[in-house]
Amino acid sequence: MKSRRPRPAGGFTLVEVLVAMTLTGIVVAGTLRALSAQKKFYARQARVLDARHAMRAATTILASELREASSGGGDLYAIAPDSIALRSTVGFGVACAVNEAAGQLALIYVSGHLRLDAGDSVVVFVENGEPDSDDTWRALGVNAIGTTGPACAWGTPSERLITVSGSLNGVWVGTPVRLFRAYAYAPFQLEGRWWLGRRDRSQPDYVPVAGPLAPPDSGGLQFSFFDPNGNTILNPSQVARVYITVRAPTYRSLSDPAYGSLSISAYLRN
Amino acid sequence: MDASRRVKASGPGRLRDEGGFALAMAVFALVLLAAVVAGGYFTASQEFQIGRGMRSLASSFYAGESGIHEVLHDWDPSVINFLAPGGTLSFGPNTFEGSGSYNVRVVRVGRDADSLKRYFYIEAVGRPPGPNLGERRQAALARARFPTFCCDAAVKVHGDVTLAPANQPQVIGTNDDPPGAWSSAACVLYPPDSLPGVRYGSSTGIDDVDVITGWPSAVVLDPSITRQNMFDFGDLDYDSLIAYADLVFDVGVGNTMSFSGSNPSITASGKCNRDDPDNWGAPEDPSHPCFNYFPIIHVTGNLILVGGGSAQGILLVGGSFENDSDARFSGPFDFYGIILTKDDLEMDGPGNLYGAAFVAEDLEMNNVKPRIQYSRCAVMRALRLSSLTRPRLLSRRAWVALF
Repeated sequence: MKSRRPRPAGGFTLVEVLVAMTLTGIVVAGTLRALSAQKKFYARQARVLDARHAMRAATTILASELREASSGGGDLYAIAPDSIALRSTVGFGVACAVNEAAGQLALIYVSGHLRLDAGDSVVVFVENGEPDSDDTWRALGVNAIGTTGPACAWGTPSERLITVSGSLNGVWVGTPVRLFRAYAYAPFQLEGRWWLGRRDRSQPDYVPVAGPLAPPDSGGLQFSFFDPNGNTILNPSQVARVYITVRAPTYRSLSDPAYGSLSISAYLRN
Repeated sequence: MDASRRVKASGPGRLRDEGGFALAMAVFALVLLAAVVAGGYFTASQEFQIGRGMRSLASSFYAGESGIHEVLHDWDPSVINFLAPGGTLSFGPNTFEGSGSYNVRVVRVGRDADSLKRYFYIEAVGRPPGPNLGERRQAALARARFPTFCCDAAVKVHGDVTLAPANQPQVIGTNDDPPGAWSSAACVLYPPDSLPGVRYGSSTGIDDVDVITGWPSAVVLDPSITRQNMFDFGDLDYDSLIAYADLVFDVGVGNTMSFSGSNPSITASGKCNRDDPDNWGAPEDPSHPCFNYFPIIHVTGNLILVGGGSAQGILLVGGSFENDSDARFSGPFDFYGIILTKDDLEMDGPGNLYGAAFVAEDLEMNNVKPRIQYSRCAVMRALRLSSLTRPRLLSRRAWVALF
C-alpha cells in the first residue's frame, strides 16, 4: 500500500506576490513617468514646430509682398515699426495690343489673380516720349476684365482684355500691367491670441494670415527699414531693404511665455 | 527525499509553468519605445523635409533671378534686338555649381513700327540642385533703345581743320560702305544717307576745303557749336557714354597708349569674348563671331592707333573733363565706327576712318592719303550693335514673381 503524500501547491507565496507587485509598480511608475515626460516633450516640440510654421508663413508672406514693391514708385503707403501698408501686386500681364480710344489693353503672359473684384486697379508703364526721364507708371481703375480680346500686335491670341478708366496715352505695346490692391499688415488680436493680420485698406477689419504670434509688447512683429546706404529710415519712398522679425509663442500657457523668433531681410526688387 | 524531488522537478520531462509576465512587459516596453522613436522620427522627418523644401525654393528663386541677370549681361544685340515682334529665344538649362539651374526665355513684345526701341519679356524658371524639389518662376520687363546721336557730318569739329592738300587727304561726307566684307548683307538694313564732310563752329579755320566733299555741301558752318556742347546728344552726353564703356584704358591724362589692332578672341563656347581688352571687334572678317561686336572703348589719355591693324566700335578719347587727349592714326590703321575725342584727331599716314568723328579741338590730316569716309552703315552698326542698345530693366516694377 502506497502512502499518499500531499502534492505541492501551484501558487505563489505571499512574499513572491509582494515582490512581484512591488517590481510591477516600479516598472509601471517608471513607464508612466517616461510617457508623461515624452508627452510633455512632444507637446513642447509641437508648439515649437507650430511657432516655426507660423513664423515661416509670416515672413514668407511679408517678404514676397515687399520684394515686388517699388518704394520710389509709391508702393509703400505707410511704414511703422510693427506695421506696413503697401500696394500689393495680385496679377500681372504684358500689354500686347493697346486701344487708346476704347481704353482697352489686351494682355498676354498673364499670371496670378486677374479677374475683376471691387476696388481693383492697375498700374501701367507709360513711356511718354523718347527720353527715359519721362517714364512713369500710371494707376488706373479697372472697369472690366474679359477673357477674350483682340489678337496681339504680332498675331498671337491674347489672354485677357482689360478696360480701364483713364488715359492710355503714352502706353506702348509691350508695357507691363500690374493688377494691385492696397493692403495693410499689422498684428491684431483674435480670441485672445495675436496674429499677423491683413486688411484691404478700404476695409476696417483684419483677417488672420499667419500666427499665432507673440503680443506686440513682446515683439511679435517688427520691421526695420533701410535705405540703399544701409541707414535706418522711416521714409517709405526711400526704402531699399526691410528687416523683418517675427516672434511666436512656443507655449500656450500665458503664465509660461516663451518665444521663438525668426528674422529675414527682404530687398525690394523694384 | 527533497533533493530527489528537486532533481525530478528540474528534469526535462517536468518543466513547470511559472506564469511570469516578464515577456509581456518587455514587449510592452518595446512597443512604447518604438512608438516614442517613431514619433520622434516622424517629427524630425517632417521638420527636415520642410527645411529642405524651403532651402530648395530659395535656391530656385535665386537661380532664376541670376538667370535673368546673366541673360541681360550676355545680351547679344545683333541677335536679340533684331527678333521680330513675338519672336522668342531660349537659354539654358544653365547650372550654377551646387546651387541650382535656370531656363530663360526672351520674347520681344512690341510692334514692327517700334523702330527705335524694343521691349522684351524675360521669363526665368529656377530649379534647385539635385532632385527637383520645386521650381520658381519670375519675369522682368526690359527695354532697349537705339541711340540716334550720330551724325550730322563726317566730322563735327570745334577747333581748326588742317588738311595739308599736298598729302592728298580726303574727308568724304558722301555715303559709302567700307570695302570688302562691309559691302555684304551687313549694310542692307541701312540705306545710304549722305552728309556734309565737315560741320564746324564759328571759331574754326579750315586751310583747304577742296579736299572735302559732302552733301548737300562739303562744309557747313554751325555757329551753335561750342566746346561745351560738342557732346550733348539729348539723353546722352560724353560722360553717359563713358558709363556704357565695355573697355576702359585708364592711362591717365597726358599719358599715351598705343594700340596696334584688334585681336578678336572667342570664348570656350565659341562666342565673341567681350572681356578681352585686346578684342576691339573683327571688322574685316564677317564670319568671325566678333564681326557684330562693337565695343565702346574709353581711353583716358592719348591714343595712337598704330600700324596696319584695324578695330571697330565707339571710341572715346579723353576723360570727363577737358584735357589733352588726342586720337592719332599712325600708319595704315583702319577704324570702323565713331570716334569722339576731347582734344585733337590726327591722321598721320594712310589710315582710314569709316564712319564719323566728333572732335572737340583740331582736326589734322598729315602725311600721305589719310581718309575719313562717312559710312552710314558703319555708324549705324556701331550704334545699334554696341552696348548702348543693351536693354535695361524698366524703371520701377520691372520685376515680377510669377505664380
